[in-house]
Amino acid sequence: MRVFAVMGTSSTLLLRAVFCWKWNSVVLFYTDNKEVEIFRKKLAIYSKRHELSLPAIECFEIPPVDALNSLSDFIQKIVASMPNNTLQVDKDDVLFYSGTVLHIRCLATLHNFKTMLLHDTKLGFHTTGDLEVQFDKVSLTLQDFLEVNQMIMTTKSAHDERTYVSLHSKDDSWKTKSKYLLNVEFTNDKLNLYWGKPPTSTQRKFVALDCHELKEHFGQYTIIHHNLPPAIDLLMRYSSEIEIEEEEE
Amino acid sequence: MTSKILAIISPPGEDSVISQARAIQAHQPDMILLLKTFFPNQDPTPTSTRLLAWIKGSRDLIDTYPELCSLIDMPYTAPFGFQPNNNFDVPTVLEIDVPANELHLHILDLERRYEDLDFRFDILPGAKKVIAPLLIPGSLQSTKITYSLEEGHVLILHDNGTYAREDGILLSLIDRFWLTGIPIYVEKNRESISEMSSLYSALLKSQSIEFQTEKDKIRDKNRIKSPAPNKYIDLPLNSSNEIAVNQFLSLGGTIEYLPDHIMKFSFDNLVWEIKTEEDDFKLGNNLELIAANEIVQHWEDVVEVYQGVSFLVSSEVEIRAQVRRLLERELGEFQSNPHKEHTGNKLIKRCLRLGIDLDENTDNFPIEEVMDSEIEYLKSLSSEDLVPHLWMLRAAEVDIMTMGEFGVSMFDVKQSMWRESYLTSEKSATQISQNVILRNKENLFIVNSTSPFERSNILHLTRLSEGREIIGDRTRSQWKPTDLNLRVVKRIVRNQIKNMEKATGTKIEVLKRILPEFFQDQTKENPRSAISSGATIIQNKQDAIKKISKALLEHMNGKPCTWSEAATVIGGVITTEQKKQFFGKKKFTRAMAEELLRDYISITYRTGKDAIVEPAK
Repeated sequence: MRVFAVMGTSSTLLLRAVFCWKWNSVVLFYTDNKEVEIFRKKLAIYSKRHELSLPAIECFEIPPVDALNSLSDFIQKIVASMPNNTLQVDKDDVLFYSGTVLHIRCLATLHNFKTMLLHDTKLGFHTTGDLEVQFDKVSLTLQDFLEVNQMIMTTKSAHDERTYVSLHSKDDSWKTKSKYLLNVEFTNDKLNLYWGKPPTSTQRKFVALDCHELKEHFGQYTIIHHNLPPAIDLLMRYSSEIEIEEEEE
Repeated sequence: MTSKILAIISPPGEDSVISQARAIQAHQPDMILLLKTFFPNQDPTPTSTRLLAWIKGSRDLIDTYPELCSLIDMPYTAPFGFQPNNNFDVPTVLEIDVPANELHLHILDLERRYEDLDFRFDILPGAKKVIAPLLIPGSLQSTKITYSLEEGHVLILHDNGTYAREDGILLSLIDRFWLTGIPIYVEKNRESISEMSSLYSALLKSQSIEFQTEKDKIRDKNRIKSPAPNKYIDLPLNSSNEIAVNQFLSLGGTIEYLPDHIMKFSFDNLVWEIKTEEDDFKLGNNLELIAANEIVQHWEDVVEVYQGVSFLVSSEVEIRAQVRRLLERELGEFQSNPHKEHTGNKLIKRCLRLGIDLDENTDNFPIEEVMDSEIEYLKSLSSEDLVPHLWMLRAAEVDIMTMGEFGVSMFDVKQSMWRESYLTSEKSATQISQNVILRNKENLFIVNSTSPFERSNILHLTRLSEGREIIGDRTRSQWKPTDLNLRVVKRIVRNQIKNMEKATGTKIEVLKRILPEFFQDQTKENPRSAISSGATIIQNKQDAIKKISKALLEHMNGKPCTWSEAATVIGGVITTEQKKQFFGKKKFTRAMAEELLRDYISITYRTGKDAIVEPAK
């Protein structure tokens, strides 16, 4: 049994999918080699922490979608590359629902996947389609999450003697700038960030900058913000008020 | 013609409203089935009020903002609302509550019900998990599985992996904002930009380097902050300098100089009045339209282009709070330096306009009273007359926004960016308030100076004519001079070479041979680091101290300077990496300077003011 997945923006859910079953191999549809390498490292860290064996990883390049390649270009290129690039998909292989909805539909129809791997907060990993299988639940702890993402969390004191949380990468390439991140929790496989009220517009901008950076680093659907200033909350999709579904588009 | 029935998911929350409207606009259905999915133990949520209003039309969508014009006659750009093809009626809407885990069964039921009609299910983004069973080939029989694209076309995705494409209508950028809760005002659109195209192109063609004038030097000296080190080697390109003016005239244009620093450019029966200076600041606002015109003319993927997009505040409370915040900021700027034209003038002008006496002592400044007067003044103005005051009434502004095959792109146009920190600073990373827009990835900077930083998100104005592909070009940030400007630069370089030859008593060919390090093209060696190529080679800590001291003494030339100026000079000598390497810190602090450079300089501290640095006695 193999799992196929598009390398999307939220790697945490994909990592959990990789470890929810002893797959014969994991086949990653990718556009950027670098991202595959980063993901491999994350898998290695997690497997080492939990003494799990690493599954075999195979990679399959697909056309990119970016500032120079539109969705129209993507579908044109991927369809044009067939049938030479058709994968041999067996009836017990599953396609994970990462990537955009167009990616999933294209890959499912081009390679004729009959079963899809999904995740549900209550059910955990399960399939839909020809096969109906229930897999293991894989849950990360806060420490897992920080280690896998090579992050460090510290508590600092502001000038007014308040304490706040700072997140920074181990290689110092990035850190949160706001002094109004009051608490961080990792529950239901989501990083819950509790913000204090920034007193000035500059501090509000720091919060906004951090929200943007956090989304860049961890993917939109791994994070739940709490008590964001309304101006920021307005355009931050899926704030704390709405139940979050694990998507990554 | 067969009736078209469009089924789309309507998940809880407002998040999918744009993709829903996008699909409805593109498909032009006769009937819309909004499948309101909900999870076990959840209740179905109502459909977005704004989506339903948008389907009915522009006025209905505007009416979902009841306070937008209740206090003042807020200028806005009306949304289009749903655009029916061939002016047919708006589609009927049927809302159906569907448990998420039963969606597949419901669609199977619907496709049976509408088997004689054109029944389609659009897999719009936003609810992957719910629709996943429908994405598997063979899961449905007669339903057309579709995906509506950003540019308005529709893909029909067949079970065998092939696809067909239908032409459709794009959902306007303007409607997208109104749908998400942000009413907007735009200054110019594609059509109004195109009308002036030949004038904008002539100005770009004739622009030249604006060299420093004596007035500029005096202006720089009066500034609180010392000029950025790059300021003198990254000069602006514009239409107001002498060479550009002559070139514009030779192209057949005319120029009139009006009071208040206004230049009136005429070309091809088109006229444009450009304000070049205000409150002792040089303006470069005209570049927005020139850049927008380049995008209109040369970016084939772009369907909509808007210049000067204001995100409006839409409630009375927000409007009052916004005006108050601005007043507080102006007051603060005035209090910090009442006599500086570029910091104090805003409040002075405002008080003058409102008939309020402004004392030198502003400790008891009646901010509430001024705010009320300002609101009353704004209330007295018509929508048209309020346009110049929009800066007070918006949460954020975007210089240029485009919409097309690649979705939304935003451009922040700058004459020049002299400090690299501008790109990362929370305060000035973009003119778009970062507390409103968080999609930085789609934000690009356009600059128009001789030697800007080279970064993936910086495009040079003179390169926009190369189309969207320029984004992927390594030289995207580099200036492409016109023949005229090449001639200007060549003339200067030729003269400088003559001076160099005279000063050294050696021919340039010989200098190139014996001093190759001064002539080699460093960008070829390391194209990404061209901007830091001015870094000094430093052997050790003592060498660093000597080189910093030497540079400082040369800068001061026997006279004192401020610590801010000195810090800039130090920054020009030693890189952050070198500071860390030789002094163990990323910053060369004032205390370090006092200790390490004491043989060369002395520092005098002043309470609340910048310290003074003098050559040591």
